[in-house]
Amino acid sequence: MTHFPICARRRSILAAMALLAAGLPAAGRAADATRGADLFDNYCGECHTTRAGGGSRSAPNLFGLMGRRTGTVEGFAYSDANRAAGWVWSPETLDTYLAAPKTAMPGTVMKFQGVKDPAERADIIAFLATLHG
Amino acid sequence: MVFLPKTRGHGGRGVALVVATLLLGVLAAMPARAVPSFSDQTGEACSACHVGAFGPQLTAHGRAFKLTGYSDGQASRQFPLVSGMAELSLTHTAQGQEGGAASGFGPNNNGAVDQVSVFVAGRLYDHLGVFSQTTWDGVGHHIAWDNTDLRYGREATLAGLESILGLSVNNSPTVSDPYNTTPAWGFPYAAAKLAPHPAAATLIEGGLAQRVVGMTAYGLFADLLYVEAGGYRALGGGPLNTLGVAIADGQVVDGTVPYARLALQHEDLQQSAALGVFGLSAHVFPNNDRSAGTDRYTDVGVDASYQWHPNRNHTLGANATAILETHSLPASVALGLADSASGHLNSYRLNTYYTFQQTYGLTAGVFRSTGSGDAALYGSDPLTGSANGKPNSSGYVLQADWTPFGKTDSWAAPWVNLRLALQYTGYTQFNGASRNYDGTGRNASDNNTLWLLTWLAF
Repeated sequence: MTHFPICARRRSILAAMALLAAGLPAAGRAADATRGADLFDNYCGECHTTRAGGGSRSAPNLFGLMGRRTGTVEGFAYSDANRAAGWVWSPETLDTYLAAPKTAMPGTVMKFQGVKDPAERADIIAFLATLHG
Repeated sequence: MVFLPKTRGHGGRGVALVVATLLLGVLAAMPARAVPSFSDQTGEACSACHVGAFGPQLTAHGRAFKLTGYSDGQASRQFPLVSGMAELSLTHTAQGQEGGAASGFGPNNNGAVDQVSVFVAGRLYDHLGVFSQTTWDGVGHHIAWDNTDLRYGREATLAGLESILGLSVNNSPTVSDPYNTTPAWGFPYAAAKLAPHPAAATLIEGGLAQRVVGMTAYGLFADLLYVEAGGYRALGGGPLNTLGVAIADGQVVDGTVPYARLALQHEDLQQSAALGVFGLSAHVFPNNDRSAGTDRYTDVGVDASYQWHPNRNHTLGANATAILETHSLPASVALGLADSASGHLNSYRLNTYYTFQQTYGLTAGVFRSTGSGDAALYGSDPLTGSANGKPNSSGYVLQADWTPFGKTDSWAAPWVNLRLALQYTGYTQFNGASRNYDGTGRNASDNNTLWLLTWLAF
Protein backbone atom coordinates (compact mmCIF):
# COMPACT_ATOMS: atom_id res chain seq x y z
CA MET A 1 0.00 0.00 0.00
CA THR A 2 1.32 3.42 -0.87
CA HIS A 3 1.30 6.05 1.81
CA PHE A 4 1.23 9.58 0.48
CA PRO A 5 2.87 12.26 2.54
CA ILE A 6 0.12 14.25 4.24
CA CYS A 7 0.71 17.37 2.18
CA ALA A 8 0.69 15.47 -1.04
CA ARG A 9 -2.46 13.62 -0.05
CA ARG A 10 -4.18 16.86 0.94
CA ARG A 11 -3.22 18.37 -2.39
CA SER A 12 -4.62 15.38 -4.17
CA ILE A 13 -7.90 15.66 -2.29
CA LEU A 14 -8.11 19.37 -3.02
CA ALA A 15 -7.27 18.82 -6.65
CA ALA A 16 -10.04 16.25 -6.83
CA MET A 17 -12.41 18.71 -5.19
CA ALA A 18 -11.43 21.41 -7.64
CA LEU A 19 -12.09 19.02 -10.49
CA LEU A 20 -15.40 18.10 -8.93
CA ALA A 21 -16.21 21.76 -8.44
CA ALA A 22 -15.37 22.43 -12.06
CA GLY A 23 -17.73 19.70 -13.06
CA LEU A 24 -20.66 20.85 -10.94
CA PRO A 25 -22.75 22.60 -13.53
CA ALA A 26 -24.35 19.59 -15.06
CA ALA A 27 -25.33 21.60 -18.10
CA GLY A 28 -21.81 21.11 -19.36
CA ARG A 29 -20.31 24.50 -18.68
CA ALA A 30 -16.92 24.36 -17.01
CA ALA A 31 -16.69 26.38 -13.82
CA ASP A 32 -14.54 29.49 -14.07
CA ALA A 33 -12.50 30.19 -10.95
CA THR A 34 -11.39 33.56 -12.30
CA ARG A 35 -14.96 34.70 -12.70
CA GLY A 36 -15.64 33.10 -9.36
CA ALA A 37 -13.02 35.34 -7.77
CA ASP A 38 -14.79 38.41 -9.12
CA LEU A 39 -18.15 37.13 -7.94
CA PHE A 40 -16.70 36.34 -4.56
CA ASP A 41 -15.26 39.82 -4.30
CA ASN A 42 -18.62 41.31 -5.17
CA TYR A 43 -20.88 39.13 -3.06
CA CYS A 44 -18.70 37.97 -0.20
CA GLY A 45 -15.60 40.13 -0.01
CA GLU A 46 -16.94 42.74 2.40
CA CYS A 47 -17.30 40.12 5.14
CA HIS A 48 -14.96 37.21 4.32
CA THR A 49 -11.20 37.27 3.96
CA THR A 50 -9.27 34.68 1.96
CA ARG A 51 -5.65 35.42 2.73
CA ALA A 52 -3.53 32.61 4.13
CA GLY A 53 -2.93 33.29 7.79
CA GLY A 54 -5.28 36.28 7.68
CA GLY A 55 -7.78 37.00 10.39
CA SER A 56 -11.54 37.04 10.20
CA ARG A 57 -13.82 40.02 9.82
CA SER A 58 -17.50 39.65 10.59
CA ALA A 59 -17.28 36.26 8.89
CA PRO A 60 -14.55 33.62 9.06
CA ASN A 61 -11.46 33.50 6.88
CA LEU A 62 -12.13 31.09 4.01
CA PHE A 63 -8.57 30.12 3.17
CA GLY A 64 -8.40 26.34 3.27
CA LEU A 65 -12.17 26.00 3.35
CA MET A 66 -12.42 22.83 1.28
CA GLY A 67 -12.17 19.80 3.48
CA ARG A 68 -12.69 21.83 6.64
CA ARG A 69 -15.39 20.95 9.14
CA THR A 70 -18.02 23.61 9.78
CA GLY A 71 -17.49 25.92 12.70
CA THR A 72 -13.80 25.25 13.22
CA VAL A 73 -11.88 28.43 12.41
CA GLU A 74 -10.01 29.14 15.59
CA GLY A 75 -11.16 32.21 17.45
CA PHE A 76 -14.32 32.75 15.43
CA ALA A 77 -17.58 32.68 17.38
CA TYR A 78 -19.85 30.64 15.13
CA SER A 79 -23.57 30.26 15.51
CA ASP A 80 -24.77 27.16 17.33
CA ALA A 81 -26.20 25.97 14.03
CA ASN A 82 -22.86 26.19 12.28
CA ARG A 83 -20.97 24.48 15.07
CA ALA A 84 -23.53 21.71 15.36
CA ALA A 85 -23.92 21.02 11.65
CA GLY A 86 -20.88 18.80 11.48
CA TRP A 87 -20.53 19.20 7.73
CA VAL A 88 -17.30 19.00 5.84
CA TRP A 89 -17.12 21.78 3.27
CA SER A 90 -17.01 20.29 -0.18
CA PRO A 91 -18.33 21.38 -3.58
CA GLU A 92 -21.58 19.58 -2.81
CA THR A 93 -22.15 21.02 0.66
CA LEU A 94 -21.14 24.47 -0.50
CA ASP A 95 -23.49 24.28 -3.46
CA THR A 96 -26.38 23.43 -1.17
CA TYR A 97 -25.42 26.05 1.40
CA LEU A 98 -24.72 28.90 -1.00
CA ALA A 99 -28.01 28.38 -2.82
CA ALA A 100 -30.02 29.25 0.29
CA PRO A 101 -27.96 29.52 3.49
CA LYS A 102 -30.82 29.97 5.90
CA THR A 103 -32.75 27.06 4.44
CA ALA A 104 -29.76 24.76 4.29
CA MET A 105 -28.61 25.62 7.78
CA PRO A 106 -31.44 27.07 9.87
CA GLY A 107 -29.99 29.26 12.56
CA THR A 108 -26.95 30.43 10.66
CA VAL A 109 -26.23 34.08 11.31
CA MET A 110 -24.78 34.70 7.87
CA LYS A 111 -26.83 37.59 6.47
CA PHE A 112 -26.75 36.50 2.88
CA GLN A 113 -29.69 35.55 0.76
CA GLY A 114 -27.78 33.06 -1.34
CA VAL A 115 -26.59 32.72 -4.91
CA LYS A 116 -29.53 31.55 -6.99
CA ASP A 117 -27.66 31.07 -10.25
CA PRO A 118 -26.08 27.55 -10.36
CA ALA A 119 -23.37 28.70 -12.75
CA GLU A 120 -22.37 31.55 -10.44
CA ARG A 121 -22.30 29.16 -7.50
CA ALA A 122 -20.09 26.78 -9.42
CA ASP A 123 -17.68 29.58 -10.29
CA ILE A 124 -17.48 30.75 -6.70
CA ILE A 125 -16.92 27.20 -5.48
CA ALA A 126 -14.21 26.72 -8.09
CA PHE A 127 -12.53 29.84 -6.73
CA LEU A 128 -12.87 28.67 -3.14
CA ALA A 129 -11.27 25.39 -4.15
CA THR A 130 -8.14 27.28 -5.14
CA LEU A 131 -7.68 28.66 -1.62
CA HIS A 132 -5.24 26.18 -0.16
CA GLY A 133 -1.59 25.95 0.67
CA MET B 1 -12.68 85.71 -0.50
CA VAL B 2 -13.42 83.68 2.58
CA PHE B 3 -14.46 85.33 5.79
CA LEU B 4 -13.87 83.50 9.00
CA PRO B 5 -16.54 84.13 11.59
CA LYS B 6 -16.28 87.49 13.25
CA THR B 7 -14.61 87.52 16.61
CA ARG B 8 -16.94 88.32 19.42
CA GLY B 9 -16.54 89.00 23.11
CA HIS B 10 -13.33 87.90 24.75
CA GLY B 11 -12.60 84.94 22.54
CA GLY B 12 -11.07 84.98 19.07
CA ARG B 13 -13.40 82.63 17.28
CA GLY B 14 -11.36 82.74 14.09
CA VAL B 15 -8.40 81.45 16.03
CA ALA B 16 -10.64 78.92 17.72
CA LEU B 17 -11.82 77.71 14.32
CA VAL B 18 -8.27 77.17 13.14
CA VAL B 19 -7.35 75.40 16.37
CA ALA B 20 -10.45 73.25 16.18
CA THR B 21 -9.65 72.38 12.58
CA LEU B 22 -6.13 71.37 13.49
CA LEU B 23 -7.35 69.35 16.44
CA LEU B 24 -9.86 67.56 14.30
CA GLY B 25 -7.19 66.85 11.73
CA VAL B 26 -4.99 65.40 14.41
CA LEU B 27 -7.86 63.35 15.80
CA ALA B 28 -8.69 62.06 12.35
CA ALA B 29 -5.13 60.90 11.88
CA MET B 30 -4.94 59.15 15.24
CA PRO B 31 -5.98 55.53 14.97
CA ALA B 32 -6.16 54.96 18.68
CA ARG B 33 -8.58 57.53 20.02
CA ALA B 34 -11.95 57.59 18.37
CA VAL B 35 -13.19 55.21 15.73
CA PRO B 36 -16.40 54.51 13.86
CA SER B 37 -17.65 52.14 16.46
CA PHE B 38 -19.88 50.08 14.18
CA SER B 39 -16.89 49.13 12.05
CA ASP B 40 -14.92 48.45 15.17
CA GLN B 41 -17.63 46.03 16.23
CA THR B 42 -18.22 44.25 12.94
CA GLY B 43 -14.72 44.19 11.55
CA GLU B 44 -16.21 45.36 8.27
CA ALA B 45 -15.31 48.49 6.37
CA CYS B 46 -17.79 51.36 6.12
CA SER B 47 -18.37 50.31 2.51
CA ALA B 48 -20.09 47.11 3.67
CA CYS B 49 -23.03 49.08 4.98
CA HIS B 50 -22.82 52.46 3.23
CA VAL B 51 -23.02 53.43 -0.41
CA GLY B 52 -19.87 55.37 -1.20
CA ALA B 53 -18.15 54.11 1.95
CA PHE B 54 -19.60 56.91 4.08
CA GLY B 55 -22.89 57.32 5.91
CA PRO B 56 -25.76 57.59 5.98
CA GLN B 57 -26.82 56.01 2.69
CA LEU B 58 -27.33 52.31 3.37
CA THR B 59 -26.65 49.20 1.34
CA ALA B 60 -28.84 46.13 1.75
CA HIS B 61 -26.28 44.81 4.22
CA GLY B 62 -26.47 48.07 6.16
CA ARG B 63 -30.24 47.86 6.33
CA ALA B 64 -29.98 44.34 7.74
CA PHE B 65 -27.45 45.52 10.31
CA LYS B 66 -29.80 48.28 11.42
CA LEU B 67 -32.88 46.08 11.56
CA THR B 68 -31.12 43.45 13.66
CA GLY B 69 -30.38 45.96 16.35
CA TYR B 70 -26.91 47.29 15.44
CA SER B 71 -25.65 44.18 17.19
CA ASP B 72 -23.95 42.06 14.54
CA GLY B 73 -20.28 41.47 14.50
CA GLN B 74 -17.78 39.76 16.65
CA ALA B 75 -14.55 41.57 16.02
CA SER B 76 -12.72 42.13 19.25
CA ARG B 77 -13.84 45.62 20.09
CA GLN B 78 -10.82 47.80 20.60
CA PHE B 79 -12.61 50.87 21.87
CA PRO B 80 -15.81 51.82 23.70
CA LEU B 81 -18.93 52.49 21.68
CA VAL B 82 -17.84 56.03 20.93
CA SER B 83 -17.19 57.67 17.58
CA GLY B 84 -16.88 61.24 16.38
CA MET B 85 -17.86 63.28 13.37
CA ALA B 86 -17.17 66.82 12.22
CA GLU B 87 -18.34 68.98 9.34
CA LEU B 88 -16.20 71.90 8.25
CA SER B 89 -17.42 74.00 5.35
CA LEU B 90 -17.21 77.07 3.17
CA THR B 91 -20.51 78.59 2.06
CA HIS B 92 -21.07 80.97 -0.83
CA THR B 93 -24.47 82.30 -1.87
CA ALA B 94 -25.17 84.18 -5.08
CA GLN B 95 -26.08 87.24 -3.04
CA GLY B 96 -25.02 87.86 0.51
CA GLN B 97 -27.36 87.96 3.46
CA GLU B 98 -27.60 91.45 4.89
CA GLY B 99 -26.76 91.51 8.56
CA GLY B 100 -24.86 88.24 8.36
CA ALA B 101 -25.69 84.65 7.49
CA ALA B 102 -26.03 83.96 11.19
CA SER B 103 -25.04 85.62 14.40
CA GLY B 104 -21.31 86.12 14.34
CA PHE B 105 -20.91 85.41 10.62
CA GLY B 106 -20.48 87.66 7.62
CA PRO B 107 -23.00 88.22 4.83
CA ASN B 108 -21.32 85.75 2.49
CA ASN B 109 -18.39 83.40 1.91
CA ASN B 110 -18.34 82.03 5.41
CA GLY B 111 -16.09 79.35 6.76
CA ALA B 112 -17.44 77.38 9.68
CA VAL B 113 -17.21 74.28 11.75
CA ASP B 114 -20.83 73.42 11.03
CA GLN B 115 -21.06 70.76 13.65
CA VAL B 116 -19.16 68.30 15.76
CA SER B 117 -20.92 65.15 16.88
CA VAL B 118 -20.19 62.40 19.33
CA PHE B 119 -21.85 59.05 18.76
CA VAL B 120 -22.53 56.26 21.15
CA ALA B 121 -23.17 53.47 18.71
CA GLY B 122 -22.95 49.72 18.81
CA ARG B 123 -24.07 46.53 20.45
CA LEU B 124 -25.16 46.72 24.07
CA TYR B 125 -26.19 43.09 24.37
CA ASP B 126 -27.22 40.28 22.05
CA HIS B 127 -29.71 41.71 19.53
CA LEU B 128 -29.73 45.05 21.39
CA GLY B 129 -27.89 48.09 20.15
CA VAL B 130 -27.88 51.84 20.03
CA PHE B 131 -27.20 54.68 17.66
CA SER B 132 -27.12 57.93 19.59
CA GLN B 133 -25.74 61.25 18.41
CA THR B 134 -25.03 64.39 20.40
CA THR B 135 -24.16 67.44 18.34
CA TRP B 136 -22.47 70.75 18.93
CA ASP B 137 -23.92 73.20 16.43
CA GLY B 138 -21.09 75.40 15.26
CA VAL B 139 -23.48 77.99 13.81
CA GLY B 140 -25.99 78.21 16.65
CA HIS B 141 -23.29 77.49 19.22
CA HIS B 142 -25.14 75.06 21.37
CA ILE B 143 -25.10 71.36 22.20
CA ALA B 144 -28.17 69.17 21.89
CA TRP B 145 -29.06 65.56 21.49
CA ASP B 146 -29.44 64.52 17.89
CA ASN B 147 -30.78 61.40 16.16
CA THR B 148 -31.13 58.61 18.67
CA ASP B 149 -32.31 55.06 18.10
CA LEU B 150 -32.17 52.31 20.70
CA ARG B 151 -33.38 49.06 19.24
CA TYR B 152 -33.80 45.36 19.75
CA GLY B 153 -34.00 43.26 16.62
CA ARG B 154 -33.54 39.62 15.77
CA GLU B 155 -34.19 37.10 13.08
CA ALA B 156 -37.10 34.73 13.52
CA THR B 157 -39.17 32.29 11.51
CA LEU B 158 -42.87 33.10 11.43
CA ALA B 159 -45.25 30.75 9.67
CA GLY B 160 -42.30 29.45 7.74
CA LEU B 161 -41.19 32.93 6.66
CA GLU B 162 -37.71 34.18 7.42
CA SER B 163 -38.32 37.43 9.27
CA ILE B 164 -36.69 40.13 11.32
CA LEU B 165 -38.66 41.47 14.26
CA GLY B 166 -37.75 44.39 16.43
CA LEU B 167 -38.55 47.34 18.64
CA SER B 168 -37.11 50.82 18.41
CA VAL B 169 -37.15 53.63 20.93
CA ASN B 170 -36.18 56.80 19.10
CA ASN B 171 -36.58 60.56 19.04
CA SER B 172 -37.72 61.43 15.53
CA PRO B 173 -40.33 59.95 13.21
CA THR B 174 -38.50 58.15 10.34
CA VAL B 175 -35.14 58.00 12.13
CA SER B 176 -35.86 54.29 12.62
CA ASP B 177 -36.52 53.76 8.92
CA PRO B 178 -34.06 51.57 6.97
CA TYR B 179 -34.48 53.35 3.63
CA ASN B 180 -32.95 56.61 2.44
CA THR B 181 -36.17 58.04 1.11
CA THR B 182 -37.74 59.22 4.36
CA PRO B 183 -36.89 62.64 5.83
CA ALA B 184 -34.46 61.71 8.61
CA TRP B 185 -31.99 60.02 6.25
CA GLY B 186 -32.84 61.47 2.85
CA PHE B 187 -30.69 63.42 0.39
CA PRO B 188 -29.04 65.85 0.83
CA TYR B 189 -27.33 64.03 3.66
CA ALA B 190 -25.69 67.26 4.77
CA ALA B 191 -26.60 70.82 3.83
CA ALA B 192 -25.26 74.32 4.33
CA LYS B 193 -26.37 75.84 7.60
CA LEU B 194 -25.21 79.30 6.61
CA ALA B 195 -27.42 79.54 3.50
CA PRO B 196 -31.11 80.48 3.32
CA HIS B 197 -33.52 77.57 3.17
CA PRO B 198 -37.19 77.57 2.15
CA ALA B 199 -39.44 78.39 5.07
CA ALA B 200 -42.08 75.72 4.56
CA ALA B 201 -41.65 72.06 5.37
CA THR B 202 -44.12 69.36 6.30
CA LEU B 203 -44.23 68.35 9.92
CA ILE B 204 -42.62 64.98 9.30
CA GLU B 205 -39.67 66.68 7.61
CA GLY B 206 -37.94 67.38 10.90
CA GLY B 207 -40.70 69.31 12.66
CA LEU B 208 -40.77 66.84 15.53
CA ALA B 209 -37.16 65.72 15.44
CA GLN B 210 -35.62 65.48 18.91
CA ARG B 211 -38.76 67.06 20.40
CA VAL B 212 -40.52 63.74 20.90
CA VAL B 213 -39.71 60.26 22.03
CA GLY B 214 -41.51 57.21 20.78
CA MET B 215 -41.53 53.50 20.34
CA THR B 216 -42.15 51.59 17.15
CA ALA B 217 -42.41 47.89 16.48
CA TYR B 218 -41.25 46.60 13.13
CA GLY B 219 -40.96 43.48 11.07
CA LEU B 220 -39.39 42.51 7.77
CA PHE B 221 -41.11 39.42 6.44
CA ALA B 222 -39.65 37.11 3.80
CA ASP B 223 -37.27 39.91 2.76
CA LEU B 224 -40.32 41.32 1.03
CA LEU B 225 -42.66 43.23 3.33
CA TYR B 226 -41.51 45.82 5.85
CA VAL B 227 -44.05 46.99 8.43
CA GLU B 228 -43.49 49.47 11.24
CA ALA B 229 -45.95 51.12 13.59
CA GLY B 230 -45.78 53.02 16.83
CA GLY B 231 -46.36 56.30 18.54
CA TYR B 232 -44.56 59.40 19.76
CA ARG B 233 -45.19 61.73 22.67
CA ALA B 234 -43.80 65.12 23.56
CA LEU B 235 -40.93 65.44 25.91
CA GLY B 236 -41.56 67.97 28.64
CA GLY B 237 -39.82 71.29 28.83
CA GLY B 238 -37.52 70.09 31.57
CA PRO B 239 -36.10 67.10 29.70
CA LEU B 240 -35.91 69.08 26.46
CA ASN B 241 -34.03 71.84 28.19
CA THR B 242 -31.62 69.30 29.63
CA LEU B 243 -31.16 67.82 26.16
CA GLY B 244 -30.45 71.22 24.64
CA VAL B 245 -33.72 71.66 22.71
CA ALA B 246 -35.52 74.99 23.02
CA ILE B 247 -39.17 74.08 23.56
CA ALA B 248 -40.55 77.50 22.59
CA ASP B 249 -38.98 77.42 19.14
CA GLY B 250 -41.19 74.79 17.61
CA GLN B 251 -44.13 72.49 17.70
CA VAL B 252 -45.13 70.55 20.78
CA VAL B 253 -47.43 67.61 20.26
CA ASP B 254 -50.46 66.87 22.39
CA GLY B 255 -51.11 63.24 23.19
CA THR B 256 -49.73 60.39 21.16
CA VAL B 257 -48.70 60.80 17.55
CA PRO B 258 -49.37 57.58 15.64
CA TYR B 259 -46.75 56.69 13.06
CA ALA B 260 -46.92 53.91 10.48
CA ARG B 261 -44.74 52.66 7.67
CA LEU B 262 -45.27 49.98 5.05
CA ALA B 263 -42.91 49.01 2.27
CA LEU B 264 -42.54 46.28 -0.31
CA GLN B 265 -38.97 45.52 -1.18
CA HIS B 266 -36.97 43.29 -3.44
CA GLU B 267 -33.32 42.53 -2.93
CA ASP B 268 -31.01 40.33 -4.89
CA LEU B 269 -27.27 40.23 -5.19
CA GLN B 270 -27.04 43.06 -7.70
CA GLN B 271 -30.03 45.26 -7.13
CA SER B 272 -32.62 46.31 -4.65
CA ALA B 273 -35.88 48.20 -4.90
CA ALA B 274 -38.52 49.39 -2.49
CA LEU B 275 -41.92 51.01 -2.74
CA GLY B 276 -43.70 52.24 0.34
CA VAL B 277 -45.92 54.59 2.27
CA PHE B 278 -45.44 56.23 5.63
CA GLY B 279 -47.21 58.81 7.69
CA LEU B 280 -48.26 60.33 10.97
CA SER B 281 -51.06 62.37 12.44
CA ALA B 282 -50.37 64.91 15.17
CA HIS B 283 -52.21 67.36 17.37
CA VAL B 284 -49.86 70.23 18.00
CA PHE B 285 -49.66 73.24 20.30
CA PRO B 286 -48.22 75.94 18.02
CA ASN B 287 -45.02 77.32 19.54
CA ASN B 288 -45.98 75.52 22.75
CA ASP B 289 -48.80 78.02 23.34
CA ARG B 290 -51.56 76.02 25.03
CA SER B 291 -54.07 78.82 25.34
CA ALA B 292 -56.01 78.13 22.14
CA GLY B 293 -56.09 74.38 21.74
CA THR B 294 -54.24 72.47 19.06
CA ASP B 295 -53.66 72.36 15.35
CA ARG B 296 -53.80 69.06 13.51
CA TYR B 297 -51.38 67.80 10.90
CA THR B 298 -51.74 64.64 8.82
CA ASP B 299 -48.74 63.70 6.71
CA VAL B 300 -48.76 60.85 4.22
CA GLY B 301 -45.64 59.97 2.29
CA VAL B 302 -45.11 57.77 -0.75
CA ASP B 303 -41.57 56.68 -1.53
CA ALA B 304 -39.66 54.54 -3.96
CA SER B 305 -36.02 53.61 -4.33
CA TYR B 306 -33.86 51.58 -6.64
CA GLN B 307 -30.22 50.60 -6.37
CA TRP B 308 -28.10 48.68 -8.88
CA HIS B 309 -24.64 47.49 -7.92
CA PRO B 310 -23.34 45.01 -10.49
CA ASN B 311 -20.04 44.90 -8.63
CA ARG B 312 -18.12 46.82 -6.03
CA ASN B 313 -16.94 49.35 -8.61
CA HIS B 314 -20.31 50.71 -9.58
CA THR B 315 -23.45 51.69 -7.73
CA LEU B 316 -26.29 53.46 -9.47
CA GLY B 317 -29.58 54.37 -7.89
CA ALA B 318 -32.50 56.69 -7.44
CA ASN B 319 -34.77 57.78 -4.60
CA ALA B 320 -38.17 59.45 -4.86
CA THR B 321 -40.39 60.80 -2.11
CA ALA B 322 -43.70 62.65 -2.09
CA ILE B 323 -45.20 63.89 1.18
CA LEU B 324 -48.74 65.16 1.20
CA GLU B 325 -49.77 67.14 4.25
CA THR B 326 -53.18 68.42 5.21
CA HIS B 327 -53.50 70.64 8.23
CA SER B 328 -56.21 72.35 10.19
CA LEU B 329 -54.97 75.28 12.22
CA PRO B 330 -57.69 76.60 14.53
CA ALA B 331 -55.21 77.26 17.32
CA SER B 332 -52.82 79.12 15.06
CA VAL B 333 -55.68 81.22 13.68
CA ALA B 334 -56.84 82.06 17.18
CA LEU B 335 -53.31 83.08 18.13
CA GLY B 336 -52.83 85.16 14.99
CA LEU B 337 -50.16 82.83 13.64
CA ALA B 338 -52.21 81.79 10.59
CA ASP B 339 -55.03 83.24 8.50
CA SER B 340 -56.62 80.08 7.17
CA ALA B 341 -58.05 77.38 9.37
CA SER B 342 -57.20 74.67 6.88
CA GLY B 343 -54.67 74.10 4.16
CA HIS B 344 -52.17 71.75 2.65
CA LEU B 345 -48.49 71.48 1.89
CA ASN B 346 -46.90 68.96 -0.44
CA SER B 347 -43.22 68.13 -0.72
CA TYR B 348 -41.58 66.22 -3.58
CA ARG B 349 -38.00 65.03 -3.85
CA LEU B 350 -36.23 62.98 -6.49
CA ASN B 351 -32.54 62.19 -6.75
CA THR B 352 -30.29 59.89 -8.66
CA TYR B 353 -26.72 58.95 -7.82
CA TYR B 354 -23.72 57.09 -9.13
CA THR B 355 -20.69 55.93 -7.15
CA PHE B 356 -17.49 54.67 -8.73
CA GLN B 357 -15.13 52.42 -6.82
CA GLN B 358 -16.98 53.33 -3.63
CA THR B 359 -14.96 56.54 -3.77
CA TYR B 360 -16.21 59.01 -6.36
CA GLY B 361 -19.84 60.05 -6.11
CA LEU B 362 -22.21 62.15 -8.17
CA THR B 363 -25.75 62.97 -7.09
CA ALA B 364 -28.36 65.09 -8.83
CA GLY B 365 -31.66 65.88 -7.19
CA VAL B 366 -34.70 68.06 -7.67
CA PHE B 367 -37.15 69.24 -5.04
CA ARG B 368 -40.42 71.07 -5.01
CA SER B 369 -42.91 72.13 -2.38
CA THR B 370 -46.33 73.52 -3.08
CA GLY B 371 -49.21 74.42 -0.83
CA SER B 372 -52.04 76.70 0.07
CA GLY B 373 -51.18 80.32 0.68
CA ASP B 374 -51.34 81.93 4.10
CA ALA B 375 -49.85 85.38 4.63
CA ALA B 376 -49.67 85.09 8.40
CA LEU B 377 -48.26 81.57 8.40
CA TYR B 378 -45.47 82.21 5.94
CA GLY B 379 -44.83 85.84 6.80
CA SER B 380 -43.24 88.59 4.78
CA ASP B 381 -39.90 89.04 6.48
CA PRO B 382 -36.95 90.06 4.33
CA LEU B 383 -34.95 87.07 3.11
CA THR B 384 -36.85 84.40 5.05
CA GLY B 385 -40.46 85.35 4.35
CA SER B 386 -42.91 85.21 1.47
CA ALA B 387 -44.40 88.44 0.11
CA ASN B 388 -47.32 86.62 -1.49
CA GLY B 389 -47.88 84.29 1.44
CA LYS B 390 -47.23 81.14 -0.56
CA PRO B 391 -44.93 78.32 0.53
CA ASN B 392 -43.93 77.24 -2.96
CA SER B 393 -40.25 76.52 -3.54
CA SER B 394 -38.41 74.46 -6.12
CA GLY B 395 -34.90 73.81 -7.30
CA TYR B 396 -32.14 71.29 -7.67
CA VAL B 397 -29.11 70.00 -5.81
CA LEU B 398 -25.95 68.78 -7.52
CA GLN B 399 -23.21 67.12 -5.53
CA ALA B 400 -19.82 65.66 -6.35
CA ASP B 401 -17.88 63.95 -3.60
CA TRP B 402 -14.68 62.09 -2.97
CA THR B 403 -14.36 59.52 -0.18
CA PRO B 404 -10.82 58.18 -0.17
CA PHE B 405 -11.11 55.90 2.87
CA GLY B 406 -13.63 53.50 4.35
CA LYS B 407 -12.93 50.49 2.11
CA THR B 408 -11.57 47.11 3.14
CA ASP B 409 -8.10 47.98 1.88
CA SER B 410 -8.07 51.62 2.93
CA TRP B 411 -5.25 53.10 4.88
CA ALA B 412 -5.94 52.79 8.61
CA ALA B 413 -9.33 51.23 7.86
CA PRO B 414 -11.75 51.72 9.45
CA TRP B 415 -10.27 54.32 11.74
CA VAL B 416 -10.00 57.30 9.40
CA ASN B 417 -12.86 58.51 7.23
CA LEU B 418 -13.14 61.59 5.09
CA ARG B 419 -15.57 62.88 2.53
CA LEU B 420 -14.90 66.01 0.52
CA ALA B 421 -18.07 67.24 -1.14
CA LEU B 422 -18.91 70.12 -3.42
CA GLN B 423 -22.63 70.81 -3.41
CA TYR B 424 -24.56 73.33 -5.47
CA THR B 425 -28.17 74.19 -4.71
CA GLY B 426 -30.10 76.20 -7.29
CA TYR B 427 -33.54 77.68 -6.69
CA THR B 428 -36.07 78.32 -9.41
CA GLN B 429 -38.67 79.37 -6.86
CA PHE B 430 -38.23 80.36 -3.23
CA ASN B 431 -40.96 81.06 -0.68
CA GLY B 432 -43.63 81.61 -3.28
CA ALA B 433 -41.95 83.35 -6.20
CA SER B 434 -39.01 83.38 -8.56
CA ARG B 435 -38.43 87.11 -8.39
CA ASN B 436 -38.78 89.51 -5.49
CA TYR B 437 -40.10 86.69 -3.33
CA ASP B 438 -39.71 88.59 -0.06
CA GLY B 439 -40.95 91.97 -1.25
CA THR B 440 -37.57 93.60 -0.80
CA GLY B 441 -36.22 92.71 -4.22
CA ARG B 442 -34.52 89.40 -3.46
CA ASN B 443 -34.85 86.74 -6.13
CA ALA B 444 -34.94 82.98 -5.66
CA SER B 445 -31.66 82.60 -7.53
CA ASP B 446 -29.97 84.99 -5.10
CA ASN B 447 -30.07 82.09 -2.64
CA ASN B 448 -28.23 79.70 -4.95
CA THR B 449 -25.58 78.14 -2.80
CA LEU B 450 -22.15 76.66 -3.41
CA TRP B 451 -21.00 74.65 -0.44
CA LEU B 452 -17.66 72.95 0.06
CA LEU B 453 -17.78 70.37 2.81
CA THR B 454 -15.04 68.52 4.62
CA TRP B 455 -16.74 65.70 6.49
CA LEU B 456 -14.74 63.67 8.95
CA ALA B 457 -15.70 60.56 10.85
CA PHE B 458 -13.34 59.05 13.36
